Amino acid sequence: MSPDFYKALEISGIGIAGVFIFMTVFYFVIMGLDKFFPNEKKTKQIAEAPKQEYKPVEFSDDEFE
Amino acid sequence: MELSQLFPAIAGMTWQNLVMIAVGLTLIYLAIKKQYEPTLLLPMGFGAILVNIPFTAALTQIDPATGKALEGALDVFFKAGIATEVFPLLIFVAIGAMIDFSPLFQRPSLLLFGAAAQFGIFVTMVFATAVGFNLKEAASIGIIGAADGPTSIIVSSILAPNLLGPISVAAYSYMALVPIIQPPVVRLLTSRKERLMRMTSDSNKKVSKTALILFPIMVTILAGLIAPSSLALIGFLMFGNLIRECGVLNSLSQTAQKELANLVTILLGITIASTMTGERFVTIDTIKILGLGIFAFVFDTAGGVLFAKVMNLFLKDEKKINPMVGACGISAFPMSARVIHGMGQKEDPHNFLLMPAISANVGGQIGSVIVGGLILMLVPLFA
Repeated sequence: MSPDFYKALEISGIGIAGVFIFMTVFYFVIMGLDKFFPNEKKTKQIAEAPKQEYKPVEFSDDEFE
Repeated sequence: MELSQLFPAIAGMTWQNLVMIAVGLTLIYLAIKKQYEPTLLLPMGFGAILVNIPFTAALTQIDPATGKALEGALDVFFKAGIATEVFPLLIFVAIGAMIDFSPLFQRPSLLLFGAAAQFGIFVTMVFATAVGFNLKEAASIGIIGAADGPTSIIVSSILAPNLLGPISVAAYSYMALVPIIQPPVVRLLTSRKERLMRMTSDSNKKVSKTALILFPIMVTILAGLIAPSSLALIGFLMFGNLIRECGVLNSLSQTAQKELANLVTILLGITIASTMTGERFVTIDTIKILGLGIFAFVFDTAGGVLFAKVMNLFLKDEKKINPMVGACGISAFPMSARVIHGMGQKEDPHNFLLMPAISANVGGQIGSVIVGGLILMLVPLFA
């Protein structure tokens, strides 16, 4: 085999490891962003949602006629 | 007066020129009739005809009267747009403006398939050195497996400009052939039980606008700090995405997605064709490159599927991944995701794999650009 073959093998090893390292870093970026910046609307809606009290539904006799 | 003086183009026609004109007609046929990547294959096909007519003014010719070079328009475009990398980088701005990264936030672990499905690039690079290509040429051939036209063009224009024509044709043709290349490989590597696996996904999860704005900025900074040579590729992609997500440049975002993409695509396709002259293209190397290109796509697909199987060994039952989704880690977006979703539906009409497949596919778009940058950084160090 030519010297280029062995160099290509070496580059492949470093390259595959490199792309996995990059993707792992980006994975943690996404996790971090998701944690520190959760969807504002959803958070706001949950925080501002009025507490609903349970009210028993009253039926008049007419509704069942 | 002789015939060659009256009709120099007819007299100067070689069999290689005729083969390339036939190739050009075939590309036009595939673009129009089969709709295989028509935006690129049609300009390339027409350009192949344009540059294979002897003494074409589209290419630089020597004026017989004065002995001076008369620069052809396609050579001017090549020097300005391809040799300087400007055209592919502008395409990246357009692609960035088209990408929505929010599916990645729904299940970030699928981003890893964008790494696993680049396996074919490296296998092909090693194999290409074994069949006689030098290291730079082999790396440029391997990058066909990125299933990403602009990345292939940038890498090959820097490392092996002599192979730019066949590499571009292979990259764009095979991207269009994803529905034919991927399914047999996926079927070969998965059992029916695996293909029937359902995946839980939080498709209703909304992603914060701030997170979507910060993502391209952070990716650019981190990519630049780890591998500065990848910064042109990833930076332009993320710049396009920032225009899309910032919310205050909607007009620019629309322009990048439509007018910019269309204009540069026209110029890119016909300019690449300037390298498709008979004497440069009709060689044994071109046949080898076309063969190695398929090889790269097959091993990319296999890499993604096998990585999903390995991941499943460590995941809880409710988190397991349908191995077919691994095949979407290539950059051909959204074609690969559609193909895998279609395969899932064929096995079980109630199995919806589109969202996870899209997530992996978006990961593939990032992965292919990163690999392009890594190859540009590593190969000169070893060559």
